Formats: sequence, structure tokens, C-alpha cells
Amino acid sequence: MSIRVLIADDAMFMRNMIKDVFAGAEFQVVGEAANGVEAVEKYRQLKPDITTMDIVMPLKSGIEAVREIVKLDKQAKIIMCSALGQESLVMEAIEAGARDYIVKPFKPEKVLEVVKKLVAGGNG
Amino acid sequence: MVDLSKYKALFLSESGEHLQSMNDCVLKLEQGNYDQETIAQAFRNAHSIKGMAASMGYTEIRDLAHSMEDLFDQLRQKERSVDPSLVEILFKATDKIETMLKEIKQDKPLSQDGVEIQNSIRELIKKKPAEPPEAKPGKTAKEKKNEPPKQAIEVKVLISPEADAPSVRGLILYKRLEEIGKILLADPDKDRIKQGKIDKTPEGYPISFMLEASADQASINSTLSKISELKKFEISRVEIGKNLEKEADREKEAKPQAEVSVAPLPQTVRVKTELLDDFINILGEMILIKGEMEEAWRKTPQPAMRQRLDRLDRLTKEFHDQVMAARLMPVETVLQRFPRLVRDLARDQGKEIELEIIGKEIELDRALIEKLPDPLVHLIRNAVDHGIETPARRKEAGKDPVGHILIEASRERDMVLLSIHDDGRGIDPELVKKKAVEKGMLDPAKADEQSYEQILNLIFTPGFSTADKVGMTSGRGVGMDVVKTVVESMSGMVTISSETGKGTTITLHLPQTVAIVKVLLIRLLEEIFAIPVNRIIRSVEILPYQLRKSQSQEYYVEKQELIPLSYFHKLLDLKAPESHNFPLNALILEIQKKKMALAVDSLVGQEDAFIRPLGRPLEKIPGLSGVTMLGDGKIVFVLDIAGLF
Repeated sequence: MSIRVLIADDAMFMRNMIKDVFAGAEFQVVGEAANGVEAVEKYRQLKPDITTMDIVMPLKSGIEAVREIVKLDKQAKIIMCSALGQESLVMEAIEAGARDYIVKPFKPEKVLEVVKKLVAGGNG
Repeated sequence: MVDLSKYKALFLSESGEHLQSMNDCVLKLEQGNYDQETIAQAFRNAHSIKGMAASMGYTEIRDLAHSMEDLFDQLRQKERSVDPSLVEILFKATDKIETMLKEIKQDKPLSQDGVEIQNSIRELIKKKPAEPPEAKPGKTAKEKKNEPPKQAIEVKVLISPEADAPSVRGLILYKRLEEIGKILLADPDKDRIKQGKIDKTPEGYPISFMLEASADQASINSTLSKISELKKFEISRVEIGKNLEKEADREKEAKPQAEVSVAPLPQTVRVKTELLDDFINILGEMILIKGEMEEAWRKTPQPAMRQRLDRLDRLTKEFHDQVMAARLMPVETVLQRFPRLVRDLARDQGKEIELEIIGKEIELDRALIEKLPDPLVHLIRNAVDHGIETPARRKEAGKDPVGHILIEASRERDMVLLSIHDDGRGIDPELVKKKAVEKGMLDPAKADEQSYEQILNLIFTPGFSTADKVGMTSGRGVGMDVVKTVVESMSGMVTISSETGKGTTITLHLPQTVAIVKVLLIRLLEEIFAIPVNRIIRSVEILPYQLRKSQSQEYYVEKQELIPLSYFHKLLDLKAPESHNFPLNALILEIQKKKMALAVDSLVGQEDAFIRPLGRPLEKIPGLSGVTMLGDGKIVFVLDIAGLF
């Protein structure tokens, strides 16, 4: 069973880069969102195993989206994607319910490590 | 020796807040509200006052606060329960600290009699309560010694040195561990982790946690395995000294509970009120200069300037609004003294009164807030003394023996309404009529023609008081007429309504924003006028030898400067004196870049004036910028010098 991934980022090239990281049999990118509102909507529809969430997005911020997604699914596994120096925003996202983070520009191995650990052993 | 005097103001303001909070907590305890949070809050307040007083060297306050902290701690640990004598002594102690804070403010030596109260508290603390309180069964000292030492789970984590954001990683660690068991201690603690203050060693970033013993080690293990960027971790069961747990508890209790909220708390700073006054003054100057620029533009219009002038106009308006907003304070600051006051007054008079306050978050300009305490105290005292009846009388009248006083603040457009309502005996119009006639304030022939409202308003006449004797609590020089004057000096008004037997409501109508300007008061003939001080360079007293005449113009000579002199009266079409009265009072002003001396009849004084704008059509008159009411109730015009030329 492949790990189902939802990618939320307002930049298309960013989404493509992340999609490339998840190329491979273990993963399946099931959806993409370009802003916070879409991110929540797609989560609701698709119920992915993992979500990568950009912090700054139009219409609704990544942090707000995390808050709403966690409300509808306590077990949601969301990974924040941030630039260097945005630590305090990432921490806000963690307090809002995000489980982990990766920093841009990210190394694919790092991303995979984070995702695999997060998904390992199911919930809890 | 560090000079502590510069911290005095801050110490007084912060201790005052803690004291107020502690007072409110003790009030709650007296009313039977024994919840843990109230006791914890009181404990924190005493702890803070103790600490601050210690750093400032005020040992009397430190010691008294320390004894209170220990007493609150006993209540917290449920080693003692609340009873009336305990409440009494706590009130005595808060009053004593309040007195000592006042003494510090007035640079007086601190009273030494706080020691007595302190000793009483210490005595109380030493005494075992008569029956054990219901909660935890107490342990004897012997039992405590033989108890197995407390255990905890120690988790030592090393965050990888290559971690992209160790502070974030640390926070994730904290949160995941919190989900498994209660964290007794974290080193570095959560705040330092979030601030990124984790030591970096070549091996990585170490953080150690102590979790309570009931935490499941296997869960901790599996959780930590799922967190990336961890170089290694160790989990072990350890024994901790009882001190560690108690210390962790005490520190946690003493720290304000900031971690509960997820959203960041609103940021505030303490600002000296003088700073805001300075802002307003500078702003006033800027607005004047902007006015001059507009004048210049009118004379030589340049298209490029118009846009910039408009922007400047918007900016100064916005700045003004923001500073005015910063001057706003919640009415709570002036109302918070009343629960305690009502409680004390009611007790003294053998009455039972419940006080309710609604709308304490409504804001008023701080200049108004500063003037409200005396009138409000008077109104509340009236409500207690003359309004609310004794429980026996109330029962006779078929009323609830407990009287009610309601203080309500609300907003209506640009006004703030502050009303005091009591459900007491109301104002008897017949009594008022009688008294007014007796005191010669009302013509007996017209007495019966007066409407109910007119009769009620007689109360505001100076010298009026329906109290038969000056009670200990009323009639101390603040009468209803003074209340009216103070409120009107703020450009507000007072209204009163009452129903015999049912109660009375007095409402203060106050403006929410005020314009205050420093003005100089001058007398011209019989009239007094106000001139904004920032337009005046100087005021002088001219003697004969300082005058020179050239053709028909007189000059005032100062340091070889010749300043044209004329009479202010002429600017207002008033009759100027025929000849000079020496010493001649004059103001030196700058008008259109030239200095002028304007003679007046006399200088009356300087005031901080609340300026009320003139309505139509008076606002069209050049030279008038508004009116203000003086302390004695007199209304004077505020002049706009530039407009008079």
C-alpha cells in the first residue's frame, strides 16, 4: 500500500519539486493545493496519509489550514515546509498541530526520513 | 550601590496591580468561592510582591508579603481551609501593604506596624487546624520519612548537530512527550527551547526531561523513534528528591500560566503618561505648521504640493487617532476599588449589599479616568448610606433583604454612559421639596409647579444634602453639586432618575475622546479668554522705561529688540484702556514671522483645558477655536491667534 500524499504550496515549481521527491512506488501523490482554502478542502476529500504544507499561502495561511485540518482529523500528519529563518512560524504551526517540518531547499533524503518516521507504526 | 529610585514608579505600578488582584481573590474567598485557581492566583500575587519588594529593599513589605505567600501556600496544599478570621487577617495585610505603597509614593518612611499583622499570620500558619480538612489526609512527619522516595522517568535526548532548526525540533520533542506523561522538568525549559537557547555541543543539542513515574517507558521509546533529527536518546527510571518535585511545582505555580493559550498573547508595553502628553503636544505643533503650509499653498498654489498636503493631513489625523486611542483605559481601573469599598461600608452599617459591575472593559480617556474616583466614590457612598435600607427595613417593605447596587458602563455613539443604580428607598420628592424650600433654594409658591425631574435636579444645587446628620461615611466635602461640576468640566453631564421605594439611578454621560490643550488665561475688561500656550513665546511685565514711541507706534524694548506693542482688546473689538497701567502685562507672540507684544488687563493663570468645539454657526467665526470650562464652572472662549489677524 503506497503512502498517499497531499502537497500544498502556492508555487507550482515547488509542488513539482516535492512531487519528484515522492516519485516511486512507495508513494502516491493524490492531490495538490495552491492555497490554504484548497488545502483544507482537498484534505477533507482525500484524507491523505501525509500532507506537506507551505507556511505562507494566499487566501489562508498554512498555519490556519493546519488548525482547521487538525480539527477535523486529530490524527492528521502534516509536515510544514518553511524557509530558513521562519522558525517562530513553524513553531506556531507545531503548536497548532503540525507534526514535523522540513526546511527549503530540502534534501530529498531528509524529506523521506521525516515522512517514513512519521508514518511508521501507524497512529500514535 | 545601584540607584533604585528610577525603578520606583514601575515598582509601585506593578505592585499595585498585584495587590489589587490579591484583594479581589480574597474577596472571592470571603464570598465562598474557594476554587484552586483563585488561591493559586493570590499565591502568585503575594510571591511577586515579595520578590519585587525584596529587590527594591523594602523589607517590611517583603516580609509581610512572604508571610501571606506562605499562608496562601497552605491553602493551596489544602493543609488549611478558609474561615472568616483568616479572611479578616488577609484583608488587614493587603490594607497594610497598600498603606506602605502609598508611603513609598510620598517618600515617607514605612510604617513599622506591619510586623504585628505578620506575626499574627505566622501564628496562624503554625497552628494546626482543629479538624483535618476534607481533602488529602495529612501525613505525620514520621510517616513522611519512611515513605519510599519519589520516582520519575528521566529522558535524555541529543538532537543531531545537523538539525535544520533545533528549536523547532525541541518543541516537537516537548509536545510528543507531553502527550505520553506529565513533564515535571525540562532542561532547557520550554520557553528557552522555543527561544532557541539550547546549548550546542559538538555532539549535538542536548535536552533532558523528567516525566512523572506513571509514564509508559515503552511508549516514550516508540515515540522518540519516530522523531527525526535525533542522534540518540536514553530513558531511565530515577529517584528524585522531594525537593525537586516541590520546586518544580512551586516554580510552575509561580510562573504566569502563559502556555495555556495557543494564540500569541497581545503585546503590551508600559508607557509613562507624560510620554503620551508629549506626543499630543508635538502633534499639536505639527497640526499648526500644517495649517501654515495650507495658508502658503492658498497664496501660491503648486499642484505637486496639494497631494502631499493631503497625505500629511491624513497622516497627522491617523497619528492623532492612534495617540488618543493609546490614552484610553478601561473603566475597570477606576471601578475596581468598589467591591472592597461596598463590602466595608455595608459591614459598618449592618447592611447586606451585592455589587455588580457590568462593562468594565469600556474605555475612557485617561484624563477622565483620573477625575472620576472622587465623584464616583461619593455616588457609591450615597447609594450605600442613603439608598440601601437595612435588611430589617427591606423585609418590612417586602424587598429582598440583600440590597443590590449595579455599576454599568456602556457606549452610546461617541459617549460613554456610567450609571450607578441601587434598589434602595429612592429619592422622596416631598423631602427634597421641603429641604429646598427650607434652604431658600426653592420658592415655596412655585414648589408644587415643579416637575418630578426638576425636583430631582435640585439635589445638584450647592449646599444641598438630605442627610440629617453628617454620617461618618458621607458629607465629607464632596457634594452632588461637585459631582455635577466635575462631570461638566469634562464636557459631560449627569442625569438622575428615581422611584420612591424602588431605587435610584444616577448616570454620568461622558465624552469618549477629549482634546486637552495647555492654555493661558487672560483677562480683558470683564471677560476671560484662553490662549493655547504653544502660540505664546513669553509673557512679560512692562515698566515705563521699557517703552519707546516712534511716530504713532509704541514699542517694547527687550535686549535691543524693538517689539511693536498694542492692546489685545483691539483684536476682539473691545475697548482698550486709555492709558497704560504699570506694570503692564503683555504677551509676546509671533504672528506671520513677526514678533508682537499684546497688552492684556491681567494674567489669570494657566490650565490644562478640555476644549469643546463650537458648533454652527459660531465655528465660522475666525479667531475662535472652541470653548472650555474652567474649574469654577465658568465658560471661556479659546482663541485662535492666527485667525485674529
